[in-house]
Formats: sequence, C-alpha cells, structure tokens
Amino acid sequence: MTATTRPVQAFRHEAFFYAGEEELVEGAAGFVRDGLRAGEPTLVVVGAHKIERLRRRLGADADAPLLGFADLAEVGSNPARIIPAWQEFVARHADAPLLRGIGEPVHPGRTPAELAECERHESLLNLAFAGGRPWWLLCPYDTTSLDAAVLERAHHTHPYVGLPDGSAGSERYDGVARFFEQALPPVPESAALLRFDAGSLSSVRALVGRQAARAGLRSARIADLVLAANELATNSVRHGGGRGTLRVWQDGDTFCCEVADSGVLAEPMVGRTRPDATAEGARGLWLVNQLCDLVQLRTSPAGTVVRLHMRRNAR
Amino acid sequence: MIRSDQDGTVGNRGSENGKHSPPADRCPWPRPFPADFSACPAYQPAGFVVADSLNRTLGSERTCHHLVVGSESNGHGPRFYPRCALGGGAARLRWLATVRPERAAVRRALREEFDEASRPDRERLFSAGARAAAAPPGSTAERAELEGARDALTERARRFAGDQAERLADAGEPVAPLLGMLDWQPAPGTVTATDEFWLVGRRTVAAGDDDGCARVEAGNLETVVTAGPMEVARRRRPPGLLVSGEIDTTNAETLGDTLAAELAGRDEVHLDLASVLFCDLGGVRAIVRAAQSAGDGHRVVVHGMPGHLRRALRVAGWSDLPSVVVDAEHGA
Repeated sequence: MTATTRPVQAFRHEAFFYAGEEELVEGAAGFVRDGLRAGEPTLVVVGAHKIERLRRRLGADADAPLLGFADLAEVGSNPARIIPAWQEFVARHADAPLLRGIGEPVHPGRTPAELAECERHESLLNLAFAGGRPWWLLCPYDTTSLDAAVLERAHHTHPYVGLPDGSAGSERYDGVARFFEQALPPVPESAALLRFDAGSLSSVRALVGRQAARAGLRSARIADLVLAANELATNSVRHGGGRGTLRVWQDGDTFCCEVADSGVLAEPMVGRTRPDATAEGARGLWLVNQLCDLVQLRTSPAGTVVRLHMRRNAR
Repeated sequence: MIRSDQDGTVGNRGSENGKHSPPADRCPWPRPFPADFSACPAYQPAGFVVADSLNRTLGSERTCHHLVVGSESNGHGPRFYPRCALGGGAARLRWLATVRPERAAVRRALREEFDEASRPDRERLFSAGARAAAAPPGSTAERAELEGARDALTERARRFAGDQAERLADAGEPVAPLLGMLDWQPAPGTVTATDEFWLVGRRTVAAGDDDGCARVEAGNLETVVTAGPMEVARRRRPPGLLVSGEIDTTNAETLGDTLAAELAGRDEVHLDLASVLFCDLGGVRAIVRAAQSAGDGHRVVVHGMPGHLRRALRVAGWSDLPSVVVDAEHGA
C-alpha cells in the first residue's frame, strides 16, 4: 500500500487485496505509519497472530499512543458486533480531523453462514458511516486463501478497492445496502418445532434449554441462548403479530435456534447500534447479537426470521 | 376399607372424617414418565430395569431421580405414597433456582445419555444377578457372569464420566465421588440392579442443599400477587419482597406495579431474586422504572441476582442501574 496523498474527505471504505501474510503486514505497516505521521488515531482489528506480526514490523511505532489493536475474535466473532466497535472508535475521537482503521472480518476460518453475514456487515458499513465524519477503513482480503466468489463480493460491497500498488474506485460497487433478503439454508427435518404465543414463552425457554443441553452446550451458554431466544420470542409476541414459530436443531458442533413471525423489520441497522442507558425499546436484538456466535436476520413482506447460532465451545 | 391400589400402595381409601388431603411432597405426576416429560421443571430422569416376579427383565422404564417412597401414618398403619425428595411444589422451584435451570438441563441431558448408553449393560447385569441368585450355592459360572456384567457396567460408567468430565463439572456433579459409588459390590445372593447404578447415584437431595436460599417458614411469607409463572410474596423476616418463578413480558409490569406500591410505603425495599428461575431485560427494566418513579430518597436493594443475569445486563450496556443497588451474586 503506497501512501495515498489523496485527501480523505468522507468515509472511505476500501477493500485491500493481498497475496499472502507478508504483503498484508507490509501494507498494513505502511498504512499505519502514514497515519501516525499525520497524527491520525488508528485502530487495527485483525486476528491475534497478525497483530503480533504487525507489532513486530512496526517496532517502536507499535506503542504509539494514537495506535490501538483489538483481537477480531473478541470484537466480532459475530460480525454484527463489528459496526458498534467502529462507531465507538469514531465517537471516541470526535475531535480528530481524520481517523484510520484496518478490519479483517473475512478470513479463511469463516463458515459459509458467517461469510454471508460478513458480506452483509461490509455492505452495512457503507450505510452506518455514510454522511458522517471522514475516516478511512481498510478491509484486507487474502487472495491466496479466500474463494474467488468471496473476493468478487468484496468488489460489490466496497466503494474502493486497493492493491499494494494503488487503489481506485470499485466499478462493481452496489451502493448503500438494501435490506438483505437472501434466503437462509432450509431447516432440517429433525428440528424440534414449537408454535408459541404470549402464554407459551415458558415453553419456548424450556425447549431451548433442554435441546441446547442435549447438544452439549455448557450451562453458561445455555443461559445466554435461552435469554436470546426469549428476546426473539418476546419481539414476536409484542411486535410480530402476537405469535411465532420456534425451531431448534443441532448442526455439527453448532446449535441453531430460529424464530419466525409475521412482523417486518424496517431498520437495516437493527441490533447493531449500542443502545444508550435510557433507551426503552430496541435493546433485544442488540443483546441477541452480543450473546450469540452468529445471528442471521431475514425479513420480507411475508415476515421475519431470525436464526441464532451457538457453538458448543466458544472459539 | 383397606384396598390395594394398582401401583401397589396400600392404604385407607376415604377416611371416615371426610376428605384426606395428600401430603405436600406427594409427586403429582403420573408414572411412568414419558420420554419428553416437561410438566415438572425439577424432573431428572432415572432409568431402571423392570422385571417380573421371576426376575425376567421386561425392559427399561423411566422414573425420577427425586422420587422416593414416602409413608404417612393415618391411624390405621403406614400408607405409602410416591414422595418427591425435594419437597412440595415451592421446594422444587427453590431447588431449581439454586441449581440453576441451565445446569439442571445439563444434568438431565447427561442422565438421558448415560441411560441410553448403559441400558444393555444394566439389563445384562440384572439378568445375570437373577440367574446368580437362582443358581445353586457355589456355582461359579453364574457368579463369573455376574462379575463380568458388573465390570462391564462399571467400565461403561467410568468411560462416560471421563468423556463427559467437563459437562459433569459444569452441571455441578463432581466426578470422583460418582466413580467411588461404582465399586459397589453386591452381597452374595442379593442383587438389585435398579437405579443404584444410575451415574449420579441415589443421593437424596435434602433440604440443606438449598443453601443460600431464603427459608420458607409458615407465616413468614404472604403472597401478594401471582402472574403467570411468577409469584411475589411479602416476607416479614427479613422484610422485603420475595419473587419466585419466571419474569418476562407477560408479568414484568405486574412486578413493577407491585414494587412501586411497596415503595410508596417505605424508603427502601429489599427485593429477593434468589428464587427466580428466569428474568429478562424487561423484568429488570420494570424494577428500575419502579425504583426511579418512587423518586429521590427511595431505593431498591436487589438480593440474589443470578450472576448470569448480571453479566447480561453489562452486555446490554446497563452496568449501573439508577436507584437500584445490587447485593451479593448468586450462582455463576
């Protein structure tokens, strides 16, 4: 990544394609050093191992007060948690004229379900920061280990794409996110099913608890999942037509829990904005995103489906 | 009139004085329990081998780990009844609140899994025991088969305990004492291969196990309101409100109103949540709103908030609850 002298005047969301870790470390180090020289607060959110390598490459610069690191696994194993983390970073430095960030949510370890949500997250980033204060966010994509389809999608979700020798506007950028409607994979036949209403929330909790225990989840994660499922069911009862359908099943080492109702979600950023202490409503999906490993939200005129994933063991 | 009931209990049917109320700890659910029995929240399945009077195995059935034989005397001799070792309905909920519903769910899953995995071994052991008991004294073949069957079951249990050590620890079932129970030696000629071999043993949960929970004393509690699966009671000593059961969107407002009414009469109200099995954020919001509405000088002190709920509040961005003081944590 060569230093760009083009001034950043708006939110610049840029995909950075690299071939192999060395190119990433070299490019990221250059990007970070440019920012530090210009006095721009910078946050790097990547995997722990890459943080380590980058710190070593940066040497003394790694400890600059303007520079921060965060382990992606802690920030955003659920991609829906990443936007709030950036929002917090941006808000924390409201006085600085420019900011920089590096965030790599898409990496080879991601499951197909996670990749779909990462793509949605990338798309929503454009919405989250459009029209806001200027800052530059680089999203690295490893061309040596990611599928061609995934790399292709990056062109559609980032207004700018970059290579080590320069960056340009993306010709295939789709624009600010429309609400994501891609259908979820079908629910397996073996799933337990429960139709519920206000009077059967207790049964929702009991079914989730029992089936999650059978799937081998630990008690703390069972409690989290029961709370999350209850939030979804409560939303169905209060805003989704008064009733809904719960389905739970095991998928390998992941336990899945899905709530469907006839409500329609209108707000694309729902669940991705940290509620302030006095906020009355809209806390449910935020909590669900914090508690679960992955949350898939799909809405259409026919209704809304929210599918929760909890791995047997925290990664 | 003395009559034998179909399940073998003997007792007086219809006392001369009029109706007889069943003991509070009588198990109210019909047995055998179906596979997905969920009516009793404290239910913990325990498999046992059923046999006829000639010790021929008829298969496996399901009872509850907490189910024991109770007896009461009614002037005509002892009357037996199916007794819940935990106590009555309120005691069952207290047990569940102490153990935590999510741990109880893990215990239940472990029991079901061990039942499934060990059923052939247990049936084999039972049959071998019956044959050993019927064999002439000194016969070695039946004795050897019995020991082989017992060793096989012990090995199965050891392997299960090893494979599931983490889940057993998580569920609060210590493994070492369990394995100690498996070295049980039947006395010659006597075999009972019932749920003694259940992995978690025949430990009866005594009242002392609900350490940390408020003790219920007759006359100390007075129900203020019930709403769905939630009950709020006023407690005299120590003074405060005791909430038990589940709090969700169907009854959070009732809880809030009840708390607000209590705050109208005093500056500080102690709210005991140690018997709460579940509370969602709406429930906490109702508590906070009631405390705030009472105004300056009023506060609510919450006792026994489950650690898990505390963590969820932090995650939701609610670390400091205005007008509410959270006392000691309970459970992990």
